[in-house]
Amino acid sequence: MSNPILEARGLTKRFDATLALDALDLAIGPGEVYALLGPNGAGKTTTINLFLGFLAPDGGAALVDGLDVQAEALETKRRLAYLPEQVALYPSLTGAENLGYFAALAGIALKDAERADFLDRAGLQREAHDRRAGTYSKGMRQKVGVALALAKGAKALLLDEPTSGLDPSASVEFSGLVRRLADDGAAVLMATHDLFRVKDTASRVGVLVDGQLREEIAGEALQSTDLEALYLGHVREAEAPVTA
Amino acid sequence: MTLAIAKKEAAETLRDGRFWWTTAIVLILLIGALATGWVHTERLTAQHTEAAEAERGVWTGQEEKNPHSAAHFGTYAFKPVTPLLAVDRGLTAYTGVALFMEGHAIQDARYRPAEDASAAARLGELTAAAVLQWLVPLLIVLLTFGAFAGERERGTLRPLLSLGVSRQALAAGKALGAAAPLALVLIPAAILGAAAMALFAPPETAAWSLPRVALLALVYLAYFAVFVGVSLLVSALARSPRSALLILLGFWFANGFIAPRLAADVSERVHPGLTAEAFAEGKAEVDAMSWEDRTVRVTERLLAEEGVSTLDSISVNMPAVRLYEGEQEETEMYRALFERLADGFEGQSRVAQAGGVIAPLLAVAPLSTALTGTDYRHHRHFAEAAETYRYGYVQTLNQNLIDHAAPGGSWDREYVVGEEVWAGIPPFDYEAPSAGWALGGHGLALAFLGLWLVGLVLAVPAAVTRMPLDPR
Repeated sequence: MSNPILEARGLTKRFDATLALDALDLAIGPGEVYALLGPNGAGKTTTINLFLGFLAPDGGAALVDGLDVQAEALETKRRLAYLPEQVALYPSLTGAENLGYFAALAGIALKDAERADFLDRAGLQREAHDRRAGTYSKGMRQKVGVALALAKGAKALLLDEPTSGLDPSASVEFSGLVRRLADDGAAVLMATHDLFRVKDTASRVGVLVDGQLREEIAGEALQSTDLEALYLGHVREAEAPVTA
Repeated sequence: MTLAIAKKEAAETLRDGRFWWTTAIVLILLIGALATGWVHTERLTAQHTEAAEAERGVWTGQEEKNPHSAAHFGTYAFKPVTPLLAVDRGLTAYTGVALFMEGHAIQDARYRPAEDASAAARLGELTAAAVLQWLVPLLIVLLTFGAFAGERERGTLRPLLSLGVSRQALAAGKALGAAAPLALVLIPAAILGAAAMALFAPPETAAWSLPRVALLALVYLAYFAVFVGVSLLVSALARSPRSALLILLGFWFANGFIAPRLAADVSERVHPGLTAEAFAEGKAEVDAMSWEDRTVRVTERLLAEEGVSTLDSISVNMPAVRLYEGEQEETEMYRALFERLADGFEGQSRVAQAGGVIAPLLAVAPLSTALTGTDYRHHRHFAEAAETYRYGYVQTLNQNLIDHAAPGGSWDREYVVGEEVWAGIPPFDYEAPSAGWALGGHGLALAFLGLWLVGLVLAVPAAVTRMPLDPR
């Protein structure tokens, strides 16, 4: 693999007595979509928050494009695009204005034509560009988020449960967008429960349970593995009572 | 980045129909209050000018009489009306509009508008100051309570911060974004007011008012900044936009309605001042001064000074000297009494200003009345100038009597003077104090207003740094 864009080195995070993430080692290269599977509380969102610098690690380091997130907060954020489960926009601004505003805060001044171009590329219908975002569906809001990632020329994408709540067609469309961003060279880390979409989109899958990366599957193995069985196996193993 | 945030905040506010409704109401009330204040000021100015001219005519038109009778005839000093009365009427309803000046006594101001007011006046007057002190802060609260709490609830806070926006820049942008729509409303109102003053007020009054208007604008700007700061602080720390709004409405109510009443009660307890009863007793004490004792004292001194044994042999008129010295003595006692009364009021005012540490209105209200010249200190300044004039002209008349009345121990009923003497006494010409003097007595209020600003400049970024990113 060429130099990883997203890298976790022994990344550890505790919340009081709870070990939320236990020495996670992870490296995601350009063009790779890494799906992090795991039940609620497994540490998926914590991992994303550590890459975003919203949390400080108790051990190890999160690196973006080789830069330590804690030491180079601004630089690493410039290289990232983040899409939470619910992409929130300002309802009284139009989609184009929302994109312009977020881009401006990222230090990018977009002209009207550029905004329209990025929104087009993200798949947002033309008629919706100048409509107030308060009228948008979740899928449309996500497209504005993707347009921002395009505008930023983000080297890495952090997606937190991106397909949750999307109808199947919107989900397929979104997966296609993610795949295209990866094909253009972005490294994608996607925390998800959506096993069905993972097979279409991901190039590598990691199963995270109780803060520990239990298994990684990639390439051919990914297509031939029953992900559901694998995932449930790890979860049940973690839930099983410890016997002497 | 800060500008981009401010621009977007302002755009969102300006698109909100509720902003236009609430702003229109505030603006209409502000312009209405300024207009009625202006009409009131104009009418008062005309009445004062007319009354002062008539009074001067009455004085110079007096028939021939003994100079001391003229001192008793007396004259009025009319308090000057400033154009800034249109902004804040302060204590003018209670301090009176004119002082009667005569021999032997210092009078309190007369013709207090409050005496003629209807019961409805107790509910308070609609003045520009009331709009600026109560309604504009309410508008600020309504505009800014959701600054951070709303972002958090909407879910935009995380994406914003993931872009590398510093929390300080976010706080500054929010503050600017709240200020811009307000400025859009308040600046035209201020320009309108200043233009009206420049166009219609007499040039000397306008020149006096200009630095005061500038300082007044700064004081209110600081007050609004305090409210923006408090709103941002609460919004950053509150659990939800709803709880931010409730906390801020509580603060607004306590600041505007509870604190002033509490401050008045506390200041009276801490600094009781001179009661009406004690003041009346003090006046009665002066009035009870024995003229017989004074006659004996003056007679003995004059006889000793001139080395004669009877009043028929002295070179001056003893009753005239007695009047001159009596005036000195009574004035001294009256001045001490009024000083105690005034010190009491000012002491209470200082205690009330100290409340500015918990309620910014208690710091801003005295600064507003000081700069508009409607506080008790300005009244005292005027009353003391009028008293200096009164004493001067009464003693001029008494001196005239000493210089010209027939020597001896009897009252010279034959000696009278006329227009020449009346006209020789210049009219009362009061020079109102400068803006610097006006603020000089309110160091405590200025300090507390500054303290609020500095405290919030430190507290808001600190709160924004620690604020949670997700709804709790």
